[in-house]
Amino acid sequence: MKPPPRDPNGKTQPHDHDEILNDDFVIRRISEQQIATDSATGQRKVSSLAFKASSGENESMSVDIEKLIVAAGLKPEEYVTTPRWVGSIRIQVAPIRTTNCSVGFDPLPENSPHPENPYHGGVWGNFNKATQRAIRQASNWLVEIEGVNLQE
Amino acid sequence: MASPSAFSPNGTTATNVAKLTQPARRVNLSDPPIIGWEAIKSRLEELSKLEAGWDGYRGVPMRFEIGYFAAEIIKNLCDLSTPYMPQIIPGSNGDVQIEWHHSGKSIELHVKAPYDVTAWRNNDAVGEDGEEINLTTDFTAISKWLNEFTGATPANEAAAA
Amino acid sequence: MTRPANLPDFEKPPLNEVVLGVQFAPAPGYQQIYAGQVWELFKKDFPLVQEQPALPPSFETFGLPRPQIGFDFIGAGHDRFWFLRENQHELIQFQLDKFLHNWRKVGDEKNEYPRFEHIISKFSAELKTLETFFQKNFSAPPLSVNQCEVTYINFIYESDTAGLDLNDVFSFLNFETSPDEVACNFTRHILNDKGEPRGRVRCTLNQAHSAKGPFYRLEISTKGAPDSHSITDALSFVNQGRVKIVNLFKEITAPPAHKLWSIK
Repeated sequence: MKPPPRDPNGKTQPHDHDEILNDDFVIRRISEQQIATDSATGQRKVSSLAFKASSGENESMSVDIEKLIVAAGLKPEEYVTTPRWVGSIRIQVAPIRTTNCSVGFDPLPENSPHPENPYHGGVWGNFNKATQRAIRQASNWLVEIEGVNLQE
Repeated sequence: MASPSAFSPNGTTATNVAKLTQPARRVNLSDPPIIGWEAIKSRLEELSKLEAGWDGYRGVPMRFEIGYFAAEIIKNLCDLSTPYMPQIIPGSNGDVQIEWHHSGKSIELHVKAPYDVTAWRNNDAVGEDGEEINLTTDFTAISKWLNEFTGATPANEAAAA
Repeated sequence: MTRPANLPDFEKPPLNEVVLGVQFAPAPGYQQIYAGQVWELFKKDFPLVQEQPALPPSFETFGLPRPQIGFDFIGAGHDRFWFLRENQHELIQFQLDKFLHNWRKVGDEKNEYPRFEHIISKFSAELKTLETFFQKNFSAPPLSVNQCEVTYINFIYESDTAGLDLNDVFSFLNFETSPDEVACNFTRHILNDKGEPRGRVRCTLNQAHSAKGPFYRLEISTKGAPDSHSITDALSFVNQGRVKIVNLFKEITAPPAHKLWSIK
């Protein structure tokens, strides 16, 4: 996959990568830390914060690009649970782009204590509630966190 | 209080390096026995110690100043004896989101930095996309939201049914 | 910098201490082990050092009246260091997320107040030195200031105001008979151009004793968020804070006392 645009400091700039196709899937890792509970029903669900970009200028919502993992001969559900076990969801790219978000490629080199992630990507855009809901609705568990609703 | 006179014992003589006379790492202030506050403190402590990469990516622990600002908001807003204690969810960049969820209704305060908060809520009146406002120093609007939110008490719900 | 025109000016104000300070987001990667390097930046003028317990972060927010709940430090703390001049009249207070410059009366309390313009000039230079240190050694972004404060502490000795009634010192008091003990405080909100609250001016009056005798301790402080996170806007808040404090000091003290303090 051709490298992404970067600023003079090497930071990946928001972009929509033309080699990430609408029919492709991205994977979003979900930590147990990002689970909220309804105080009336006891229902556990993924917090909306998991469907937003990190705070900060030009920050993206981190994802893994599934087809790159597969092309490397790895199993996606094993790759995204190593070295740390977290849950993960699988989202088709088309619905993400329908919200006017862009989906790009953002490979990460090793940076102790983090291993490299050459299949890392990012979603950039305006993560208002409608966008968050659309991404959530387009998601399905890849590695399910037991007892947690993905949908609202 | 920043005045040195508030903190220096009488007769302290400065040498090149003075021994610390009080424990360095904790400022213990009195805590009234309010239900829920210990849980909030404990959760903030936990988030400040998250491991690098806790989110499976490059997530960092909750930032020091964000934790204190979130605590300030919660102290301001919460009647801490109610059953509707907020939950605190970490973001990847050291930010946090303070959330209340009850019977499908929600209030969320995304604390991106001190004085940089995006607040959102949904309810029957505002619909599922809800309403969102940006806040800096004044959280009066959120007090109103919380009062309306906690108006849906179990007793009221039972009566409606 | 020059003193604002029309700002009340006293030749002999009863000032005991002045504090200018900022609170900022800790520089990424900075740890307490580097505090010695920070001292090196200022050691030539501030050769003495003391360790103190850290001050918790503080913010001026507005909403419901606040319950009085304390809060322990979260995570690894950082001591507060005082870097003092040889004569101890001025000091810098430094910790992970705060930087303050104090002037105070010490010893026989005969050291003259060097004036705000002198102190803020030093404070401004020191802040920029600190910012450069973080940028150079931690690749940190510019200092991100989230809170500013200015505090003036006045010691009004009864021996210095002999012959004056309490009502002749404080204009907001109007007793027929002076009380035996006095303690009061009030707050005003600081609003930005849009009328939104940004901070507070706090005034506290109580009584105390020192070797010199009984005195009224009048503390006026402004604290709040600057317009942006930059040092420039932080200093702007500090300057504006000082104007509010001096004007309030004149407002709440009475003309007979002003005469004693040689108002110009």
